[in-house]
Amino acid sequence: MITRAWEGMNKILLVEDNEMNRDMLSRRLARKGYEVIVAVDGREGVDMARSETPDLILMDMSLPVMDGWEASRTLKADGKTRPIPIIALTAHALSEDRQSALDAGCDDYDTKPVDLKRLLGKMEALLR
Amino acid sequence: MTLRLRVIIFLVGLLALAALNILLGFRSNAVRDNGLAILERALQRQFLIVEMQASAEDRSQQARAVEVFVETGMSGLARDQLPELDQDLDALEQEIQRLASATDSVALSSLDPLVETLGRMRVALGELEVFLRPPDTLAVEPPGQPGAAAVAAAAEAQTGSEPEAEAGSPGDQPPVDAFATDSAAAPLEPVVPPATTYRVATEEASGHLAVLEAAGRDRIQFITDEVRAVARATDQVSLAIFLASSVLALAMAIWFFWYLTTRMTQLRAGATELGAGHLDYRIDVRGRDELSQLANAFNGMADNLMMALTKVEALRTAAEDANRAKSTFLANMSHELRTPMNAIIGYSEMLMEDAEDEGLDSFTQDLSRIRSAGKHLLSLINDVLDLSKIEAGKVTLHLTDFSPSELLDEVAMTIRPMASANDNELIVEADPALGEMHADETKVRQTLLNLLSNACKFTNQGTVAVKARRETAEDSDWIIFSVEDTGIGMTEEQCEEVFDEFTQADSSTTKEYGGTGLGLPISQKMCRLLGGDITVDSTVGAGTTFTVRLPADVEAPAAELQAPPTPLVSAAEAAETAAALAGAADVDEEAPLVLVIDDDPEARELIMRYLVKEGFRVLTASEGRHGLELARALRPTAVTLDVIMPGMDGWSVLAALKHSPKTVDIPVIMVTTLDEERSAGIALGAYEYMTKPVDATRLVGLIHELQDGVPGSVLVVEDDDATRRLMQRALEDAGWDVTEAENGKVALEALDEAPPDLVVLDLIMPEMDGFEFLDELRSREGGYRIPVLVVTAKDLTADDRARLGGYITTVFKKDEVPEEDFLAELTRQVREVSDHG
Repeated sequence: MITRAWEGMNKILLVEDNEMNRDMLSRRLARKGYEVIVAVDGREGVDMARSETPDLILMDMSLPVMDGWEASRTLKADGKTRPIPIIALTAHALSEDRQSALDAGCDDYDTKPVDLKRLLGKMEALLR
Repeated sequence: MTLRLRVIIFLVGLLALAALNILLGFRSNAVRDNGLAILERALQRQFLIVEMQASAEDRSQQARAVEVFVETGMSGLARDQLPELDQDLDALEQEIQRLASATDSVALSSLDPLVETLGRMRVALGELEVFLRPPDTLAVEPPGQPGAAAVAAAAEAQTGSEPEAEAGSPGDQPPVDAFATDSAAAPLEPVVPPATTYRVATEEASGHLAVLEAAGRDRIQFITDEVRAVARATDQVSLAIFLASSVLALAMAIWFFWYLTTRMTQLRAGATELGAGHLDYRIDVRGRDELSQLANAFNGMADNLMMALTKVEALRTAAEDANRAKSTFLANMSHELRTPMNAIIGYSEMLMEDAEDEGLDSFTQDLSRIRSAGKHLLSLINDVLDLSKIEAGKVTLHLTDFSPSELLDEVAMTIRPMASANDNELIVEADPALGEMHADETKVRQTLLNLLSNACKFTNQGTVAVKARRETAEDSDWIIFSVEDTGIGMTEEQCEEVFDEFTQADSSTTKEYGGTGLGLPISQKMCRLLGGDITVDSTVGAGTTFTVRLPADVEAPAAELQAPPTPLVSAAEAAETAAALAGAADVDEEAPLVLVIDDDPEARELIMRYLVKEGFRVLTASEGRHGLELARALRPTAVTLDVIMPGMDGWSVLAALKHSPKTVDIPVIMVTTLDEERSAGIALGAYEYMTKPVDATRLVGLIHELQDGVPGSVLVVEDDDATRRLMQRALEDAGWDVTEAENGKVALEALDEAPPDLVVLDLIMPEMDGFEFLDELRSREGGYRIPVLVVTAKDLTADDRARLGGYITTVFKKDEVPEEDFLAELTRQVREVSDHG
């Protein structure tokens, strides 16, 4: 456990504009042993992904300044950030959101409110 | 001519003919009566003549006897006869008078010879008397008695016979005199004895009578013929009139029959057409009679119906738009509701985890309740969102090829935990020949999951089966999914309501089984969107089967299909536009576009020239359908629309424009020659109604008004987040493009990026307050031109006002209006400042 915390602690970038969601998810993920860094809009998310090179990005889709789709596309277009898996988080909606998230290059998709177990499963699958 | 008039004329004609017939009858009767009267008199006279002939015969015999007596010297006997002869002559004279009185003027002249003969007979008788007078009486003969001198005898006859002449006709006298004078020579020559003279005269009289008798007979014959001819002519004319009347009546009847049949057929055809809903059908109206009036009434009814229908159509469109707006609102609201719900659920879960870690079991239970209530509420919100999205037409299909059997396995995997929760057995059966299908996989999955979760929910210790097969019907392939359970089932009434929104089979179901009741309506709507449907079959207590029938190859909905590009502007019209545009100095590509729809080239040109001069870009269309296409494709700032056009008229174009959400916002100015329909035009959604000839100034003014009415961009500078958001939303709802800034500094940065059309400014702000911002704004190039609406809760001092100086267009005090009116008032003020700034 300690080893993992030292050597293998995954750095997760959470891009989320809603303060409560950000706070909640970052705290819950930290409790599960992840290092969580946060960004509040798409632009900042892209910048941080470049500078911090996280192991995985949780990307909210409806973001100010630059939305999640745009940010995902930007990240997947950049050779440096392309390998970083992105899980799109959107409010529940019909299939369009899921499809468009995948179209934008996201690796997986989950709906809010977050079912932590399910999300962790998806995260672990991508981090492996 | 009206039918009544025609019938009256016809009857008057018949009456006139009948009257003519009656008149003719009267006339002919009068002629016949007259003829008969003449005939009667002619017959009387004839009888008289015949009588006279008889007595003339007697007289001749007597005269012969006297002659014989004289010749044989029996003077005595002869003398005895004389008084009788004298009487005879008187009788004859009387008969002649009767005959004269019984004779018409034509016949009168033929009596003259008879009268003359009578005179001669009298003279002969006188001479005979003298001849037979015994010698002794000769001396005492009165001096008036004629002797040998004829003159004396004549004179005597004139005076002596005076009394006799008095009794007779005075007209008889002169011939007697003349005769007497003429025959005075006879006694001077005693060659012929007087008796013989007398006898000859009597025979002569008989001859005259015979002539008269013959003439009378001829006349009777003639009169009879005349009367007969009149009767015959009357008959012929009567017959002719009768025939004419018959022909007239027959012709009129035939014409009437033909006319009524023709018109009735026409009316019936019209009524049938209109009844069948072809409201643009018009009965051909000829003439002005009652049937034409009826046809006109029909046509008028059709006009009204069509107008009413157009109005209803417009109202329906408006209602649909309102409904869509409602759905959009709901969709947006659901989104807003979901964010706090996420927080509630998320934090309650976190607290639960904390409580579990720290062994606070009493908290765990309550927190779990909060979480499950939150989840239920969220699922409601999500369903409302789905439904609203579908209703608002915001759902797009993502059609891909996928394998339904794989989908089935995937769905079964997802639902298995739910099935086993109620101890249900889950059976999956996919037809090996299922193949691939082309559809929206997510929507099919969502539908199946929904049906399966229902089945699992309402079934306990039973079986839930999901099956799929392929079927060919109606010339295409269908994929049939069915979800069968052995659960509680539903009654027939419940089955009917199960797809209605916000209706669960039993409202108590919600309590027991949860759910929103929207799952099935949503599933049904999605299946229909894919070109299929869902049906249900259920028996209470035995179970329920839902069958989903989808096309194996779903086609994109018609609305999504891109119409092949068609040339929007005909060559002629392009040339026309180019010519008009050439007149303008330079055409601004950004200038507002006005579409002119009018079939009259002159009107088109005129309007275009006005507008081009005013700096608008103008495009024209000469017919409704083409104009409609242009409006859809180019979404002009305004449309001027002629009402009366061949083909698709202005009303139809207006209705079509207002029917489509894409064009409903384009203001339409109706331009027409008729003023009566103004209110109808406005009711149908026209922005304004103008009559030709077009008042150029007013038209241009109207379009400027429209153009100005299009909101621009607003920069809202306000430090309080809540207030700023509220203002932003209100202004965005009013159509403004809103940029936010929480203080003066941020606002200046925003200004640099894109200068807004108007600034809404709070005065008291951290970092850089409103006053500083204004100073900075006004010092910038072009900055002074942007109107500023100051929104403040602060009571402005004289000093403050001085600082604001001439910069400020309007100051709007927050606390001067009730809070609920604040936003409305703000929107209004912003609009006003923008219009006048």
